[in-house]
Amino acid sequence: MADLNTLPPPPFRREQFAISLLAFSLLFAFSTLFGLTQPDITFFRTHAFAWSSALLVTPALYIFIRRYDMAPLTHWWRLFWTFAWVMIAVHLVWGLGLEHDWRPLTVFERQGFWIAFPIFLLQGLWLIDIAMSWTRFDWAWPTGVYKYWQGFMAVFVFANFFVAMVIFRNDTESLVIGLLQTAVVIAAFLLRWNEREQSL
Amino acid sequence: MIRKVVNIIAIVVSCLALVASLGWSWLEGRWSAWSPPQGDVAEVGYDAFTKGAFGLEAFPLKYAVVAGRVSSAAFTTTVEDGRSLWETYGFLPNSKAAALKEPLCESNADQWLPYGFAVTNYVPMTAVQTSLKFAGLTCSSCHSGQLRHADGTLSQPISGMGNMDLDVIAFTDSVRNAVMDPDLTADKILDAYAKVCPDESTGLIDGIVEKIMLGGWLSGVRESMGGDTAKYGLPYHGIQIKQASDIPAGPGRTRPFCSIVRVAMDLPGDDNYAYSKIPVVFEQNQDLRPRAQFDGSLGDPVTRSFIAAYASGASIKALSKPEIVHNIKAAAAYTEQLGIAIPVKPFAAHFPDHAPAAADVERGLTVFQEHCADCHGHRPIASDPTKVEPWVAEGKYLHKMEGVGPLAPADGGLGVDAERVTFRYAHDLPLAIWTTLPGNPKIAAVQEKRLDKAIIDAQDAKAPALAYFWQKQKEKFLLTKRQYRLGHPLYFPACKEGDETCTDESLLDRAPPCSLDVNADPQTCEITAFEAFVNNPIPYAFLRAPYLHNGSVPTMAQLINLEKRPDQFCRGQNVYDPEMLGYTAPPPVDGKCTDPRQAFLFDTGVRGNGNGGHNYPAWDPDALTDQQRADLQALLAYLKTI
Repeated sequence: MADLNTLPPPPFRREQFAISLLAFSLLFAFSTLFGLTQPDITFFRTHAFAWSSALLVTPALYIFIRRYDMAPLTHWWRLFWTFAWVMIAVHLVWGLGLEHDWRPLTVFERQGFWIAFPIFLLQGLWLIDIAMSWTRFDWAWPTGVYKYWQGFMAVFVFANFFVAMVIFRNDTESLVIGLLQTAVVIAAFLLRWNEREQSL
Repeated sequence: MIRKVVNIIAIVVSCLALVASLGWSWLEGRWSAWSPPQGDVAEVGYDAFTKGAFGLEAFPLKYAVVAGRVSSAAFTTTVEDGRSLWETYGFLPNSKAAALKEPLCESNADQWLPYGFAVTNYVPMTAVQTSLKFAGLTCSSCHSGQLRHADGTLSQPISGMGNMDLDVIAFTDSVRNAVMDPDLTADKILDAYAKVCPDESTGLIDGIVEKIMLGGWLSGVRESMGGDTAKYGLPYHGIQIKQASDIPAGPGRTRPFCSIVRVAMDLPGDDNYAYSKIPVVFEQNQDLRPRAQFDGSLGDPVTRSFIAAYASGASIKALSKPEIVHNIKAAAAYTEQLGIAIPVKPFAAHFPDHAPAAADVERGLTVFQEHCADCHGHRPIASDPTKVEPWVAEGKYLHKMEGVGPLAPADGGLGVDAERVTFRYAHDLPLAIWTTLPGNPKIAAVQEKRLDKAIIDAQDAKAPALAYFWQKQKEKFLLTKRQYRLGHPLYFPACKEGDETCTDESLLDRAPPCSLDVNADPQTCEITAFEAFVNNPIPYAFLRAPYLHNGSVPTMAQLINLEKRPDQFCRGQNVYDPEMLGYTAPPPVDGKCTDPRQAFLFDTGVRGNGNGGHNYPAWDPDALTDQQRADLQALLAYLKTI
């Protein structure tokens, strides 16, 4: 194992930022402006920000599954992972602020502890993970506890989206995006497994 | 090189998208900024009642300026007789309009828009707020009226009185006609407006937003109304708009249950003959009037106001906006005090030359107490005829229901036209309306259970289509419940502010369907559907003409059997008759109402228009004894004072 501090950071290319920012911006604009055509703008936007976050995190999950413990993570992963969190934070602001009047306890009252708690936990843990990914030298080559942390976060984030979008499937859009995300994750696992098989 | 260009384009597009989204969000915040007005109920309530937004935006203000020009075919009825568009439909004129020298434009709308119109920036249905200004109806569009004197002059607008000139359903059909016009475009409206008001300029951003929103409004409203033709039919046009054979409601009346069946149950309402005059809303305090509506079907005045706005077309979304919620509550509070703490001019102040003699009034009170007070309570005689004493809500049958159908109390019914309370779906409405607004999580859970029970009940009753209907209602409810997670701000029944003893459990006892006892005392059920009419006080009786719930009796003299009730009469801009206490309603000539200003033929033989019943005192007007005539004249004199 090489000394982490001596490994070069993965190469950064400007298009990684440009494309991930473009995806974020267009989804943000869609969620904000397309809501104007909907019967309930607040409701639409709250959900559209969640759908957008699910779409943004999907490439990050794909890259993570393909490369985790096999190859260094890339800036693609870090940027999509970050933008997805920003979008879910916007979803939180709309959901908690406008639909729950900034009263988190009402989310627990309405949804019950075991549904509400992971929502808030996700926001906090994901933010910590992103903070580490932008401050640690070993974000692309995690080792030790940090490696397990990253693995746990990927599972935790996917599980949250899967439960919210596929199990609860409150609307068609959620189900379609949730299934798409699940398909991408399964495909990533299959490709990873295939890659391993071939390398043996 | 290509990669570099793509990167730059991507970043530029991203920045534009972000600036547009964040900029729009900032503008939305600016457009929707609102803080609750401070003041007492007389001031704040009056403002809400007459100028408040209720989610009843009719059309953009700039379109209101040019509607007569760009949509004249849709609004022309052929009975204008020199009247403005607004007057033709019976809206109360703006008192400042006559003095206005400048062209009618957006900037001086407060000087020409009819009384009772609000200027708001809510887009209809979605209630999104933008820079585009709309002209919207308020409570006072319908619930403020004027007395037309024989010399043609009009009184000042009287808050709380029904607008008996207003042909609101005809107006709605005209608006539908206008916006469904394929030739009407945003550019056409703005071009016409620019010609009328060349000096008015809109800022660059506001101008762009305005044009986009105007186009969006037009396509949205056209799609919505066009899509609803299966439920509403095509609107009438031209002279049809004023013909009773086509639009049977006519001036001063609505079809409230036709509307509520359409909006709350999504079912057609054409087979609904429940015509209702626009009611007065005086002294709505629950001590005097625990049940609202002619049939006593509603308890809380806020719920009553919500349902009025909802049935008139306000969306659930609009009715959740803080400003509109405030206006609903403030206007309801205003009507509770209107006529009590907030003065209403009595008869003698309007018609000092027709003030009845004190001796007649005194004798009339005796007659009233013998024939009327058991059901209506009474008002003591004031020493100053330009003032009124507080109503005395005491009477053997006061606040009781008088039945008309199978649920009638054993001691008989009122005998008035029953269409108001026996229409199809009447008994399904309470649950449908109650579940329109999801309550807090605990109440919403009960609402869901009651919908489940309705499905099971329908299946047990071997009515599978009804079960399907309730299943669909439940789906709609579940979606709305997700939108209003803490409960819709106007859900009912709800605890009053500061009531510490109120609990969710106690509320649910009042939730429909909760009682089959037509005369439960007190009747706590928040919303009922008894086939009955409720006995309530009748403050400001002279402002309640024409009488009975369907406005089928033009004067009080006819109602109390001093004169014969007419079978047919012409309605529109009728002159007020202070002698007979009501409207001078001329009979038709050869079956037609030829005066263009009173063009609506009210035929009491038409279903829903019956003028029978409420036969008190039960004397034959064609065979009155001298004593009876004198008693009735005295009664009429007393009724002028209450």
